[in-house]
Amino acid sequence: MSKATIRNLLAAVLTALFSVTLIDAIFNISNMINPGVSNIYNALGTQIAPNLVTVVIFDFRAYDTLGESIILLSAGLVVLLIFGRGLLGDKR
Amino acid sequence: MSQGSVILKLVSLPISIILICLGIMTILGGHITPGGGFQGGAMIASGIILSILVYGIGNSPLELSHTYIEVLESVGALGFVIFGLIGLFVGGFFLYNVGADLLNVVPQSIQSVLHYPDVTNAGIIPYLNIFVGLKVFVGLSSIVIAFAGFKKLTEEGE
Repeated sequence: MSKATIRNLLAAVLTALFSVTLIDAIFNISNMINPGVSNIYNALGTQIAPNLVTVVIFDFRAYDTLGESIILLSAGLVVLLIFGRGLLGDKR
Repeated sequence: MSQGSVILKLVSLPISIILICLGIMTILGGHITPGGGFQGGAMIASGIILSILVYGIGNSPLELSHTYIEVLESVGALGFVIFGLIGLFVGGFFLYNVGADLLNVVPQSIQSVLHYPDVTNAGIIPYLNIFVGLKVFVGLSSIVIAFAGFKKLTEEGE
């Protein structure tokens, strides 16, 4: 028995083991999911406004939205700084 | 910069106006329908960008002046922060939703001022939507205006 055959046999066994574990995980994963804080969000958010996405973006995580708008501001600033270098200074 | 086609010039101004109206509608309905400040602001900016790309930077019918861009950008950024500070001083957290008031810590008089007049209990979410929409619209369109202006300056310089 050559070395390649042993390796193929080992690979086949390990692949079978892995696939059995994967299928088991796929069929049992709904028991393992914990909704966690999502229930609280779903209960509280619909008291504020019907669109839960906007409630999350502008109420629970409004810091995040502030940071995103600052990203846009700095993007415009960097465009002006980099691409306008040498163009704007000469005209003044 | 401008493309010479007559059909493009005829069609793009109505499409720009429709895009801008759709963006305003998306911003104002941000708390009840899908979409919000970012998406509506990007729609308005796309209308402005379409008009600038077709007609060129100098003779576009939807031209934004320097002062206009400056004022709108400042109003967007400062309004968001001021609403956050109102929440900090009245409710205790930065960006606390004073109008909706889930924790019942705000006096009724202040809460009724910032409560959005609607069947929902949205509070300050529509106002924040409007501010973010202004900011995204001005930010995206000012980048394209800057690129077009730089290209024009470079062509004049050569």
